[in-house]
Amino acid sequence: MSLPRWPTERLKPRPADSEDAPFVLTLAGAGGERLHALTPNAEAAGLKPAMGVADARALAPRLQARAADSDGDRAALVRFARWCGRFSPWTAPDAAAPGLDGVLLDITGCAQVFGGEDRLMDQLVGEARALGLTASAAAAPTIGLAWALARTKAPHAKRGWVSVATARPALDSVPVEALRIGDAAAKLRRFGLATAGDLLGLPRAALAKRFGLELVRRLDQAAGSERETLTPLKPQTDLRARVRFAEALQTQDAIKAAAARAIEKLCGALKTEGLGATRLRLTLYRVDGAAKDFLVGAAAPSRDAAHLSRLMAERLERSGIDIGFGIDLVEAGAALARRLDHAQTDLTGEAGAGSDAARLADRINARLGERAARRARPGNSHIPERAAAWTGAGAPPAPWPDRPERRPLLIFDRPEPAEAVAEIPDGPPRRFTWRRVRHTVAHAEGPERIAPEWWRAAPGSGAGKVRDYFRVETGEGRRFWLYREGLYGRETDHPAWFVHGAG
Amino acid sequence: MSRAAFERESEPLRAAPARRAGPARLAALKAKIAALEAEGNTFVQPGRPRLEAPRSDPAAAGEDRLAQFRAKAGLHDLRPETYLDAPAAYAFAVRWLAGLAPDRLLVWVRAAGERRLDFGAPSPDGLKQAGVDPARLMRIDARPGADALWAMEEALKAGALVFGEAGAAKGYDLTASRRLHAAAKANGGQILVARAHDADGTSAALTRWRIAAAPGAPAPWRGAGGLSGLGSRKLIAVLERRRGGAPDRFELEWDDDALRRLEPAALADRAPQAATG
Repeated sequence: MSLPRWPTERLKPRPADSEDAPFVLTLAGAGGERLHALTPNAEAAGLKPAMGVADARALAPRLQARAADSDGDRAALVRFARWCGRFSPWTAPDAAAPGLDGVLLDITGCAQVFGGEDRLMDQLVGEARALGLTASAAAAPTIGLAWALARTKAPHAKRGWVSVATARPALDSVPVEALRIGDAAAKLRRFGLATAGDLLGLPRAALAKRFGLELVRRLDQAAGSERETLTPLKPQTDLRARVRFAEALQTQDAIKAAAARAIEKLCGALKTEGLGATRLRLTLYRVDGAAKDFLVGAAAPSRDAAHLSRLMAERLERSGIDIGFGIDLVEAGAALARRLDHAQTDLTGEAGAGSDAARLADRINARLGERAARRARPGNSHIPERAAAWTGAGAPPAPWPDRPERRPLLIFDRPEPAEAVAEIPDGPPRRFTWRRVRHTVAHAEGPERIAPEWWRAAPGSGAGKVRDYFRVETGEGRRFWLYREGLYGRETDHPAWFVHGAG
Repeated sequence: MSRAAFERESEPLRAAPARRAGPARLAALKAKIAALEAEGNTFVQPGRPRLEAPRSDPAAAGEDRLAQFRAKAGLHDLRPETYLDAPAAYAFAVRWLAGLAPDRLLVWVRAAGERRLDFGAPSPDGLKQAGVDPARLMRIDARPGADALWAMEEALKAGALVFGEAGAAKGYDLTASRRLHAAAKANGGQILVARAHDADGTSAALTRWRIAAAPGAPAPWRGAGGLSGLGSRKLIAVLERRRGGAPDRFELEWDDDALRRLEPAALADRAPQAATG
């Protein structure tokens, strides 16, 4: 399939392009920026590829120019080739200069699925055009011939595609420019050789001598006398391992052992790919036509079969397995995998100390649920309840900053309201009632004033209220951390008190 | 080298072990082994504790009267005197663990939904000021009972120091506490289990403590609103039971607030009180 306008048409959103303000992509070339890819409007305005931008502006004063992104074009073409996988499992991007881009599809045997080759070609060209691409296609016995026909005959065909059954008569009329030989085509033209048919009539040895071996090879490939294969896009490696049993497994222990075997196989595959699983999926297929997934996560990428098997065993134990009539296929898959390079162990053969913690967290999480085990990371906030961020136990935690403000040992996630009596409106409480117990304050220190984070407040709700924190010790020696919300007289007349910490 | 010369030169080498391995030395070693073997059943002062406190810790210098209890790997129980003394019990536990093995992971197993011990989540800033590096801390939220106990045991097996909240869970009984004690001993770790103030039932702990807050002395400076500032923190730790020893009572006081020192303060005993029943 030929996509002559790929670099300009792939852009999203589609650039503005009109007859009097044509759009072009430019590339730095000899003597400044030169035109790289053109839209039909630009061509109609008389612009040509490789023309200098200044010259182009002389022809089309309202020219819209943008820098071309060749790597982006190629990557987009790979994605488009993958999309073409709906027509054939064997597809490959065929990136060339602008105007010659295309996608190769091996449709051998695929036509029946679509109800004939005609329908397949209709659908292929129709769907590519529905995406807004200028597309034409050709079906031919050789890649070379299909390439040539898709770029020469097919654009003028009624339905946008042509199909030939045999190579030879069709090849005769193919112009030399469509033989994938680059600049040699112009040379051939000078000798009056306009079509492939002209070339095929000439002695091969003389052709090779004059125009290079490449010409003969391309000619043979188009004619089918030399082999040319399509290198398809590789499907991404599926990290799965299966263990199949002739006799269905009936016991939990057997299933756990089978899971361990599947995981071991999977870990072998992970090792070859240099990956470690951060999420492991185990699928148990029952003989009576049901399948159940079990997922476990690992804090750090791992391909340690013993560790992963143990995690999975915890998981299976926690949720229980409904064996039904037995399980005959156990599949382990890495649902999420990340790069894991070999870790250097120290001289005693032990990995870093952090890995112990990560393993412990994995086991806890496998049994007690995700986020059961967490570690503290310094939060980016001065509001006490957000000063610590409790996150998963993956990476080793950052060193904790020294903060000069004194904090209690225990802090409530949600401050609890208290009724307090203060001697002066902005002083510490003298008595307060919290959780239905009355406390008398014996010692107090403060206030530590903490302003709200106005940038977090919802629009229109105001900035929030200032908190005045007091550390108090009650007559019994119990220590609490209380705050009064709102500045008396300025923000509120009835300040509310909250207990935010203890100990 | 002649044979005589060889024997002359190697003489000191042979003589040295012969002098040291006397029968008295052998008997001492045997006694030491016997002491180690008997450790599981009766309380014996260990010759060399597995967990060595850091050199800078006054506990190592013998100033800390709780050092003899802290030195032993195993399980310790504590519970607050009343409901409102739970934060004091937490403070005691954190001080207890602060000086021990500073390179080990510290796992805090929270009993989610246990109302009797619900005084908030551990605050990393507060812990740092109490001498525990928050980078060592791992927090596990588990349902009280089997889940929490399982998490404590796993943490001990991973070589961590554990502070677990058992609350009033029925699952924490003699068998469960024996498991925890065995896991702690096998890995040279320590576990402190906080129980609810009204929890009863037996346990296999080495020591069982009852913690109550006590009014501290006022600070010499003025605090807020005409009140004095917060002075040293004081609490009363009653050693209710102890393997192979008599109950005891300690009045503990520390003043990490005064000079805002950031190194761990020891559980310093002010004036030794007479042992009460």
